Amino acid sequence: MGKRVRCELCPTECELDNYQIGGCRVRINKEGVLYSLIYGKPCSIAIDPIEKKPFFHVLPGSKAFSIATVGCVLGCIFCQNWQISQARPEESDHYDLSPDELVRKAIFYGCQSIAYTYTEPTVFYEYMYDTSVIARRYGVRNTMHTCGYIKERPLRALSRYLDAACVDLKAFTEDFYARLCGGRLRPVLDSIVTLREEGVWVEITNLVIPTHNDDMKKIREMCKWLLNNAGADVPIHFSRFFPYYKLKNLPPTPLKTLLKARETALEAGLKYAYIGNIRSAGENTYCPSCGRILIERIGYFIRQNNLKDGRCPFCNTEIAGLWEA
Amino acid sequence: MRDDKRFRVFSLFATFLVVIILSYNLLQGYLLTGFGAYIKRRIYYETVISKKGLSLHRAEYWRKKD
Repeated sequence: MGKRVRCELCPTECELDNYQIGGCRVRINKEGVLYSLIYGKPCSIAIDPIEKKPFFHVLPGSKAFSIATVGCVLGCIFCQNWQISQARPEESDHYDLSPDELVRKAIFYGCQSIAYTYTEPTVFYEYMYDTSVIARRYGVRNTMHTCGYIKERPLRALSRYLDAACVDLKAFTEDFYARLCGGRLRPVLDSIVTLREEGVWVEITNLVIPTHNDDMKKIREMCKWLLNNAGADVPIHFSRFFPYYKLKNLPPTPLKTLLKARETALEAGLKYAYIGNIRSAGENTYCPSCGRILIERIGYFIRQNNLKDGRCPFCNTEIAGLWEA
Repeated sequence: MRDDKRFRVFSLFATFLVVIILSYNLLQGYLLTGFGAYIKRRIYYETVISKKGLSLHRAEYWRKKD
């Protein structure tokens, strides 16, 4: 009945029988060979402000050509994009877009970067990899928004072409990952370290869910870990949760909680902490030295950008990030 | 045929039957479930997935690109 195959892309390491599809829904073992079902078949294509990813320290005010296919390596019950992340490729509509056509479109629409986003780009690894190689050749930046649930070897291979990654650090307990996501925390932390080692610009997103991961003690612990393992320059975004998918019995995160989380991150020693999915002054970038406003944002849009060559114009402090295309 | 010979043939036949029945009971879960699941997956692939026009792109090629 055919050879079994072990998928070595994500830490789940699905062992697949002949014609069996992996937990991500998009990889199949056919006669002992592993295939991707969604290569060149994105289900979502859009041109977004890069702030939407969210990247606050990467080419502010620029456009990102954003794509996603269906599928995900995790099964978070609070998923904010579950309509596509939990869908099967054979049940969804998709576009036909080859990697070179994708890069061509990004350039045509004046996008300085391509964002592999919305769902988990790890599942369309081969598509992302080939696109990244071509994009790099044409000077288009590659960015991804990922849950970081990927094995070291493929991540290192991809990192050669990756400019920035926004990693969803969903919580700082193994229990949370096991109960709510069907995954583990350790591989995510390892991915953050690997990305930093490979010189990829990293930003962190933390979706704050009332009663599940809004304990300030744990948030402090998470920020301390980031400080020690990724550095004080890593920006962290605390995003507001909305009740979707299988977690509808909770209210949206109160602004008070998000402000407290931001304060906790700054106290822990991180230089850049932001609040997302809600309008507030927590969306702005402030100089960590003089405290003056450097980039003022309203939602995904830039109201003022005072940075001069990646430095604070008031005290000349260098602000970490990818500021130029 | 003498009685003892008849008895020997009958015993051998009975032992053979017992072994076959025991083996079937022991292995049916493994063999038939596996085969049944394979047939189900194969039918799903042929009738649903391959009809959708999805490409089959060889995966995990960081192995050779490393």
